[in-house]
Amino acid sequence: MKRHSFDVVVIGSGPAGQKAAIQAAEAGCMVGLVERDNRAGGACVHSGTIPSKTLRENALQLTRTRRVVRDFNLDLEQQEPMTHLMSRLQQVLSSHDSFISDQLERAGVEWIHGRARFADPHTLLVNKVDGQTWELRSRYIVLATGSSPRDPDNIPIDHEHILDSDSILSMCYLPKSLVVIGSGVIASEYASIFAILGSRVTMIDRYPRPLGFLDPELCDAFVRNFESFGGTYLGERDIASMKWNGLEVEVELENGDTVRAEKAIAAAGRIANLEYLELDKAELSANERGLMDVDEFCRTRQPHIYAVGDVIGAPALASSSMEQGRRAVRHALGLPLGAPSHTIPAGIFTIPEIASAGLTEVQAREKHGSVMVGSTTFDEVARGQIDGIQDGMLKLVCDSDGRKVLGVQIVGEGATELIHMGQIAMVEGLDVDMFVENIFNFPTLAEAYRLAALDIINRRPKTEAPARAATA
Amino acid sequence: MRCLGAREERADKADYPTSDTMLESIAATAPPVTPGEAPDLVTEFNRKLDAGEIELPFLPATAFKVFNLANSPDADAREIAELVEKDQKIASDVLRVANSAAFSGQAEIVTLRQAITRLGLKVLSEIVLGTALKASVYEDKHNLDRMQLYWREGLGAALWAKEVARMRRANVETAYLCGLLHNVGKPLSLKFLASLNVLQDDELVQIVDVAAPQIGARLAENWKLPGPARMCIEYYNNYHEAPDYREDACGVYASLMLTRHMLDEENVSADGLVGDESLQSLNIYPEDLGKLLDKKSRVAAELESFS
Repeated sequence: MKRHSFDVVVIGSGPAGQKAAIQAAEAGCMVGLVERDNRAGGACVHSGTIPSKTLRENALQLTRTRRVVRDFNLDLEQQEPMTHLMSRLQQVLSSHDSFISDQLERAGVEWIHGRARFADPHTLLVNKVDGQTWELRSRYIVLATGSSPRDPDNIPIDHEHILDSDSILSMCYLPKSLVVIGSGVIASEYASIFAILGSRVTMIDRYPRPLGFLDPELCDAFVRNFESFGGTYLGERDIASMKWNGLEVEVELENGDTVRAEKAIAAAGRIANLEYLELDKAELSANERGLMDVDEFCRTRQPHIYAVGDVIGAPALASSSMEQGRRAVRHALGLPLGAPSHTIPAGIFTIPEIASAGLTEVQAREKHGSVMVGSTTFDEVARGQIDGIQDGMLKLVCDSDGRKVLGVQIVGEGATELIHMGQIAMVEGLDVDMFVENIFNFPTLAEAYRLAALDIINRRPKTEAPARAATA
Repeated sequence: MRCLGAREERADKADYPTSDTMLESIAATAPPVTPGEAPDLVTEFNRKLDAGEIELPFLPATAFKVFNLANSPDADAREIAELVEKDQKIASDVLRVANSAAFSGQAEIVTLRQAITRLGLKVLSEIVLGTALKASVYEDKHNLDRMQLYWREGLGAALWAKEVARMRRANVETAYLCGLLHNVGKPLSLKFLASLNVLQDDELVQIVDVAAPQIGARLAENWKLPGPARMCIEYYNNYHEAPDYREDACGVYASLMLTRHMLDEENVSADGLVGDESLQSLNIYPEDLGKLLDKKSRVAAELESFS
């Protein structure tokens, strides 16, 4: 058995693990990065964020092309094989792979391909793919093993007819009809992508509306768009059983209804990848939700073992996971941490995009009582008209004086980029007036901030001099 | 997979020609060959093929049509049943498999509609393609045992490829087709060589192994097979060199190893598979291999039913 010693061993090479490993290496540590896959990047790169966003972008390109074809009376083959839609993926992944590998190599991080499990709190055994076992000892250990699609008992996922959010990307043609089980981020993203591509999509979940954690106006905008693509949302439905009957997927609902489709995707949440770790050997255990409990520094009950990314649960975003990885290692090594960021934007790559930062209107009212809300639709914005963005909206939530920005919610193409302006306003504690007093490029969607801000400013109690009143 | 090509002009012939036709046409003129001359054999094969002196076998259009229809969003059970009914041999094969141990329920299946209901369109299409392929390419009265082995390796690789694909979250339908077709070059090469009548059995096998990928590639081109299947036929034994679809070719090779283990445990042990490079390339760990091998009895039953 080969034996190695490190200052820091990171398990998992997704966004959280990469940043943890690089931070530790930059601090001069001997770092080992253990990855069970034979490529760096984790689910984010190979089965999650990047492939699904590539598919989304290609679906949008195709839709735009179809619009042009229709407008210019040209011909276009209707059936787009999935493989064509994923055509740029390999190129994107290769570039990303090279970038990650180069970065890790430059930092001097040792790459260890295998599955890690604890032998004791400071020792890991790594099962190699060729059957060998390596022993790694380390002063600090960072668990960044990510998550995998949940496999519900009543859904017989066969990765052929009933797929999960990993195997959905293996389809080589576009299904005529698709059932999506779930109404969270992943379910909504795939449902809208396949709907715009032309599949007849039915989303089924127990919740009354999809993306229920968002502002209801944003959910409604998503549903309106989804339905305009031919999609159907069946809320408040429980699944009794589900099977491939030899001809099609058959979903029996508790209310007696049956939904049939050519393919189905189960996107009913994700579970933390902790099954191989043998946590008990490190005197650790997962909590009742199958996640690792950590303190504000991402430290587990064992002070030298940290957990970051999806294994600690929400927000489980690539962006926040990277920062968790970096901060965990800095804490372990006694390096200055800097102020933590509490304003984390959420970007949802549905069609159209949705983004949110800070408090929703409902959350703000619960926390602050009275609030002022300003909003605008993208058809009031010149850029929205130029780009043909339909059903876009930006909503600003301010304190009861109509000054301090408490939250921003956006739906519409460009939302995930546009949100950052609102995020910075919140981080810096700026008044809503800054959106009116500063000059932004024209015509851009940034104008939506100005219009939503004016909506608030013009409804403020009129206690100020007339000169302060603003106009569009 | 939806883009299989077919030679439509022969669609309605139930009694279709096999590669025996090819064998007979070259028997009189073939030159002597030694084991070191496999590349020359491929050249000679290609020359004769291009000169029209030999013919490649073809699949009945029914098989392609059924496979394409069943794997398309427009699949229609009635249309498929009607297609199968037109080909008596295929219809009887479907009923035989539907009533075999791996698929039969309590009641005997006597009609194709019943078979479709019990098996489903996908399984039905696999049976149709498999039986047509076997009749067209793998039947040879002169080399029964060797042909049977090639057929069972092809079919076994197809069935294992599905399981490997499921584990890797790769496309299951593509994997099946690639596995099923990967060694079609072997029966063709064997028939071509056997017709020369100058080689010992072990020499034949060696040359067939070398020549089959390139001879199979000609068939793949002729049948207008989709990219992954073409690459797997030409490169499964040398997947590192595949210009495209390398993981598919590697998956087929790994599936072939699993098949050989299933068919011959004494010579291909489970421990031996742990060190197999193709499985390692696919990131299949020893514990994953264990999970795959848990399915061995089911795969074996399916193989027997289809065989």
